[in-house]
Amino acid sequence: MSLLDQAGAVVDPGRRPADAGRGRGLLGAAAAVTLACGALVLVAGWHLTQGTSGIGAGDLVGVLTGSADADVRDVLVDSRLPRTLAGLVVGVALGAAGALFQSLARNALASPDTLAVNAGAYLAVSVAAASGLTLPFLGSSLVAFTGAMAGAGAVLLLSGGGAASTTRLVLAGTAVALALEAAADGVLLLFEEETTGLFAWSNGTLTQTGLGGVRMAAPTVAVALLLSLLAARRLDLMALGDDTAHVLGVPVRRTRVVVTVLAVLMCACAATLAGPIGFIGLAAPAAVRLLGKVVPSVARHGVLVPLAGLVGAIVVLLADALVRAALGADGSLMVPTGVTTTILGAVVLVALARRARDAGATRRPVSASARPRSRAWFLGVCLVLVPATVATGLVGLLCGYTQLLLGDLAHWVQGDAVPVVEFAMDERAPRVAAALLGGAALALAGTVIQAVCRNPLAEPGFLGITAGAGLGAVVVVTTTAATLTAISVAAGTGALAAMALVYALTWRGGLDSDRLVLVGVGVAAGAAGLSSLLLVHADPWNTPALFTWLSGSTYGRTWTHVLPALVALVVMLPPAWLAHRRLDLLAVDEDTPRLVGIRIERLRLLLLLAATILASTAVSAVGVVGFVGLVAPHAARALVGGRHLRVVPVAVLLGAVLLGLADTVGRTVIAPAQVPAGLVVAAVGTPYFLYLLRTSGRTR
Amino acid sequence: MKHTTRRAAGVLAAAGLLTLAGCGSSQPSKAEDEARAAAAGGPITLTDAAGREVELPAPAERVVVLEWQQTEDVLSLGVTPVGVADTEGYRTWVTAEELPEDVADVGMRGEPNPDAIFSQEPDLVIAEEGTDLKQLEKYDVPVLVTAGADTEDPVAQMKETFTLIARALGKEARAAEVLDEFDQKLADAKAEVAALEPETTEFAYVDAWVMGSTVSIRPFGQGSLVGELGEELGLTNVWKGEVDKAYGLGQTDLEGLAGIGDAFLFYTGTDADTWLSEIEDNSVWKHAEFVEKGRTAAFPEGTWTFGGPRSSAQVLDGFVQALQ
Repeated sequence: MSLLDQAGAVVDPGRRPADAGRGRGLLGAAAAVTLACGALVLVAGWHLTQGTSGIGAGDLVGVLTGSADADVRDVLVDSRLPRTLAGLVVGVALGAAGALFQSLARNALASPDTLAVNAGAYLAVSVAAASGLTLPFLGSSLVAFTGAMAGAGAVLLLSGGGAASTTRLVLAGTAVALALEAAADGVLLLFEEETTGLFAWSNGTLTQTGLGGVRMAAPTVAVALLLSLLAARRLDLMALGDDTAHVLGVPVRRTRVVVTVLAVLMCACAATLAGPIGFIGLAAPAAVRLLGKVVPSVARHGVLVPLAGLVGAIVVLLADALVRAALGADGSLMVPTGVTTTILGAVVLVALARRARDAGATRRPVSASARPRSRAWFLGVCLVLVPATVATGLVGLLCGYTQLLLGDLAHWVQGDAVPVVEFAMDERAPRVAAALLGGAALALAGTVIQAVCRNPLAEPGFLGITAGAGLGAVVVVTTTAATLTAISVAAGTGALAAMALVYALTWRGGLDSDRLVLVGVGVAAGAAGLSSLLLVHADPWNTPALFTWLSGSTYGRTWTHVLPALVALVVMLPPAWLAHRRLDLLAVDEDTPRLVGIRIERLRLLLLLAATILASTAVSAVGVVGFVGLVAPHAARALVGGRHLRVVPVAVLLGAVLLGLADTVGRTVIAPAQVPAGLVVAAVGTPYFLYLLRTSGRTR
Repeated sequence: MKHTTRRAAGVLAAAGLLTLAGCGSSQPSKAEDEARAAAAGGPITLTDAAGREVELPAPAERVVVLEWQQTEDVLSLGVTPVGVADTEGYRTWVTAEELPEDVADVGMRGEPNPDAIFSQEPDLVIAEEGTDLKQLEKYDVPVLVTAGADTEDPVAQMKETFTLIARALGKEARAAEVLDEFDQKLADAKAEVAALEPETTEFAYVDAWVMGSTVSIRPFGQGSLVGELGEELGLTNVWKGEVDKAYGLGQTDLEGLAGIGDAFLFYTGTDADTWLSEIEDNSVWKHAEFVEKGRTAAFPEGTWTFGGPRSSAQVLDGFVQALQ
């Protein structure tokens, strides 16, 4: 007898316990499944009636009754039906896979997106496209599957598998996904003609060329789903805890591996069929679990997994149908389905995050390595870093398309350089300054945020600040012919608005740092989805230009863009450094600062505001760059210990050096073309970040 | 302790070496501009597509071009540019005029490298609207902004851009020749089409690409260069859907494409089998009127559909060939 039956017995003691619980349970489950199927049929029917050729509901009925002509039947069978069936298969696959991931990780926020499964598939397919391979469906599926497995494997391994806390898992998954997406974006930029159409695909689109794809994917998904249902009972037991399950005779590790492979297989099929469609794997199981509070039997995996699949299918088809109804059949072809689902899913993620309760390993003081560092060591580090920063600036000025030497620099400073040299320096100087100052500002923002969130894995990107800035810029660029100044102002406004939103959504009589990070990730995803939507809608054939700006590039920067970052740094660095004792206390726990008389909420708000302003000026200087605000403070802590008196200056210098070098590398490596600095930083920062995760997991 | 000292010494030595490597100066010799200007002809003043006044001391000889249509125009006028954006891409997609091997690559079309442009010591930079020109202007490099396309009258726009570039290069005579050849070609092609008496004069032109199991189809609608050229030949472009304002391109899928009925379907030949092979088994495609009547045809590979007079002549050839 399962625990759920016993619960049923407690509620209604009059009847015989076993029969009452089981009977009501079955009835509830059956009702839920029937309702879901009914809703699915309705939505699928609506979906079938939409399209570019004006064939509607009347014709659909006509086909069913056999009275329609051949053209109509062709359109419905070979154009509409594949699209609807694709939506069905993708929704079922993602919903079921999401439910499985959540059970395995015992974590309500695990999903194909937060486990970097979609990102892995995207990268693998991009690389295949760029290398000129045109693969049949099976080949593409295999490529996507390999990428997806690699992504999921990396995340699960690095966040400690099933025992990971929610925040840690989401952070690890989001970071890995960001890195993989940055790599895929890099491929997209460098192989423009080969990867035409990949941008739209990368956001997920249901249009099909026939039933071929569906005919291959549907059986695979069905088989994987059935196999995972065979493991339903084991999953129910594993929900009680690994040790309990082990004692009850469940082969835990084997089940874990098999179910993970099945879930990733389903996701890979979905990604090959329709591109990576985001957040279905998060929202559908979440909805079903909420239903499970009303109808307890739904929480059992035998019902949960298929029901999550059905709900997933409903959400996908509904999102697609709504977009088509809103934008018209032609207009909606440019808007990928995945963008709509990402925006919806971000809302769901935020709602879930607000209820999440987390006591995970990430909430601990930001600690450094065990060796105590002397003051002499700290001064030594500073003495090395200051010239290193200057050297980075010099190297940046010298490198580029035209290789210059120090003598040229001297001539330029004296004002008697040859036009070629003067031109090159005038073009590079603001860019180098932008990279250095942007890196410094981001590092300072990151240090502050890590202290506020008491989480060494937090950064401005994860709180939605940089995504909000990006959205502000995209709004301005796509609605008016904007100057770069207007873009900077819009970026600042967007960053502040995002921060305000995240703060408001997290506030619940106080600010829980874990909730802050989770809500931030949700808002960041939503802002990114909206940016994609506006980009694709406004200028579908000119994506590369905005792409580079969003990837973090110093192209075209002049001194006007650098000035805000300089001012922000000059204004905020001294107070932040002087407040080092408060930052130290804030980083310990919730109560110690209060005991000492610090008004914690006001301090946190001030610090977050400062971080937002710093990050938004950095966005105007270098575009949307991630990782610097994460890696620089942590590296600083590893070098000089946890005291903010030392961490603040070292982190600022490290951030400047990191972004400065990334910018130089990006400008020089494939000259005359350039790789955006943000992508270089992601390429360098990801291995270091993954290393961070591993070591921070070990020192518990 | 010793280990640390040795390591520090190593780092310092490396830093020292690197610093020494950076020493020196690479001042290039100054160019002799005045002599050249005096030899070639008088000063030229133009108003470009963005309404700016462009002043040249003499017809430009060293030209850097930042887009492919204008590159083709410059080559058609008998001038070899010193720098072009994305030379590899040009050689793949544009076959109307050949680009010599020693032309410098100045970066991507969307993000040209200002350093690379300036180091070619150009007399003139030809760009499209939206390029960031401030630094070049500060250094007195003349920049000519040209419009790539206009849906109001694409053929006239193409000729206007060509003529503007010709004036800047002092090659008006050559330009007149090329345009005369184009007009003659148009007249000949029109006569040929009339003589062929095709089953229908309706057509639609598309290009497409495939990603996974999705085919994206991009029809060239009202106001596109290819569509307009077809109409000049006496044909009718049946694609009336929504298009973008600059190039006249739309977006559709198979279903929408089948709506053109029994009109001719022409498409870009380059890489066409990648998407054709995906859709040939689809019954919407198979039973589409234009497929059943055998009215599909590819244009020759390497025909650039957004080009200048020579590419447009290739497009005209494509039409004539396809109708046969």
